[in-house]
Amino acid sequence: MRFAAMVVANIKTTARNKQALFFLFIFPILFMALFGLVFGKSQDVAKIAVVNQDKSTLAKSITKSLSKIDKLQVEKDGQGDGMEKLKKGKVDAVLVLEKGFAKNFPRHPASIDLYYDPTSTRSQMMRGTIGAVLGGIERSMIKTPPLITVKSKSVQSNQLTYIDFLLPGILAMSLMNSGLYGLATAMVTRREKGVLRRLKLTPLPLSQYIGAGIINQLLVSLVQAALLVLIGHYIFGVKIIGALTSLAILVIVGSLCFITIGFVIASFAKTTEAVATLGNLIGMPMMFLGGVFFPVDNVPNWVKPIVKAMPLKYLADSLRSVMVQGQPLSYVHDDVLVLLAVTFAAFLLAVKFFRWESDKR
Amino acid sequence: MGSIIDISNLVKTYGDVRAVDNVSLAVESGEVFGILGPNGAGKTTTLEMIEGLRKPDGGTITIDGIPAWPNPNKIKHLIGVQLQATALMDFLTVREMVRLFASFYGIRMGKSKADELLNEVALVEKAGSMINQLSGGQQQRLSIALALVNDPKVIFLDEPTTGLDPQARRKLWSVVERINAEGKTVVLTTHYMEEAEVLCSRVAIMDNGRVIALDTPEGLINSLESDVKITFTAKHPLDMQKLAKISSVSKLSQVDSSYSFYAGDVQKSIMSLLRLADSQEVKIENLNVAGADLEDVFLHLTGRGLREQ
Repeated sequence: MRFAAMVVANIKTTARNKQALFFLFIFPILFMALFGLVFGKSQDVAKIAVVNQDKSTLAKSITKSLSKIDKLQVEKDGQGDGMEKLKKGKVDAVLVLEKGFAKNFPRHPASIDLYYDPTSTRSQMMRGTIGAVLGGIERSMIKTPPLITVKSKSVQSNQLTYIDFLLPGILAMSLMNSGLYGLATAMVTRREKGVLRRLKLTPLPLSQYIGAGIINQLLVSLVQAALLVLIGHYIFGVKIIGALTSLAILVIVGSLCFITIGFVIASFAKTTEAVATLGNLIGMPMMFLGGVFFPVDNVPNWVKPIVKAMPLKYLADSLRSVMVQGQPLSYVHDDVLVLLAVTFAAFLLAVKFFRWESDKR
Repeated sequence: MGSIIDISNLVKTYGDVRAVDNVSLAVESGEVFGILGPNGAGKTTTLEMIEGLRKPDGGTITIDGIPAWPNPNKIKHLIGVQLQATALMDFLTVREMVRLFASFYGIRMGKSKADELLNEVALVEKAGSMINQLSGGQQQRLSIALALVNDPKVIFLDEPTTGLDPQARRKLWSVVERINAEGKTVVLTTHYMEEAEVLCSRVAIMDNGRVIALDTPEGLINSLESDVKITFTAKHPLDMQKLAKISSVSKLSQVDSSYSFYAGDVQKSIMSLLRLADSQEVKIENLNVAGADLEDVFLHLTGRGLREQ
């Protein structure tokens, strides 16, 4: 009963602290939006501007074939600002069909100008694409059957866009941050104010006080995760194909891991400022090297051991496998084991160094 | 009435400093017992050892016959504590806090019961307010309410009025008197002698970790030989040597234009003072005759003021 009362009290204090709530829930979403907008923008759609000054059927069929290509956006350019757009990188190539370019076609070869930007890979790739398209048209007009046919068969590799990659990463990062700072800040504030000493005088056992704190923090993490998943899915169009129960289990395991590390921080930090410093010391490197914003499979060799020592990497990886790749929990059981091991080790440290009072006189 | 708290030969050392040095006390059931002394005298350390917060290095403490150490859990239901620092959680209402603390003792406290308790500490009108919106005095009274949730036999108040304005202090005094009237024993520390005189049935004066006197406030004051203090101001300096020669004057002191001394024979010494002033053509103002107080007792015992460091 007193345990339940303590849990309820914790939930109330969390829910009423509007400033902290803002950081807990709005911050990850802002992060998501920011990175999603900057890096996640339809990267794989190429744009071509077609300047068509001719009225022949050939010109029409070229434009038509181009617009049939997947992931190629054709802009009809009447004003002639296509070159300007190419220079600014707003289109990847400009195709010019001059008036009378196909005079006496097919007796005389037609000549078409393609402008591209050699510094852009996508622009370079346009050369090949346009060449292939025109070749196809040519063959169909002179009725020669192709000697080699390429049958493309798409393999469902479940192509991940950047935002698909990002969402599990941001989720892992948010779980880490609220775990590292949430409980530790509350704990150290209460210790500084003497609330912990006062609680020590009541019959509420330490284990129940801590347990209530963990449950509160887990609830925060679950709500945070649910919000991020919903927003990722409905606003950023992330396809979540993993089982939600597996996802929830990972969220809980991951949160517990970072909450316990937060406890260690709380045991060592004397002030809330020290909590922030220690939290940053542990959290910042993980944010950048833990595979949140970019894959860390190809980091230099000397960085690899550092990456391997980061709990965040295991959480981000396993969340990614389950959430957007649809893997079962058994696929990530190594990651889960690492997280549980870290939790256990941190728990032992936290219990050993727990302090009721700021100054141990 | 027998004693409810028995302390003998209590010792606490921090490094080389004996913060509490062989203290023995007995607190009677139903009294308000005061521990008076300057900062660093060992008041708080003594109190926190009795409460079970700090482990003594030596000596024994029993509360209602139960030893407080080595297992302080056994006395938790007997005592209610207000710590020196107001230890309250943010973002809870006053009533929620009271009910939360009650739940720690396994007490399911209803709304009306909580308000009844808050009424006792004159805080019922703030029952729905957030704790961080309370004034200093209100927070202290809430702390007292929290100390009362388990209906304890003994209440410990550590400097309950430090930092409060006079009005808030009076309000808190009446709360303490009410609690005591209900039969609860109160042990409080203070460095306000006025507080000890108003509230306490007995006072232990502590200095440097020791109890240097223990009696009722009247008993302590009566123990002073020269029991009347005379203070006045004079715009022009008075001849101190001539002043000192007035019969039965002792502990003469002068700070700027303010003078004070103690006198055994009030009538004689005042007459001499006025004659002296007349002869030197000095105008005496703000003449005040007062009985000694606990401040004077402390000064007499230690040669220092209560709030001097």
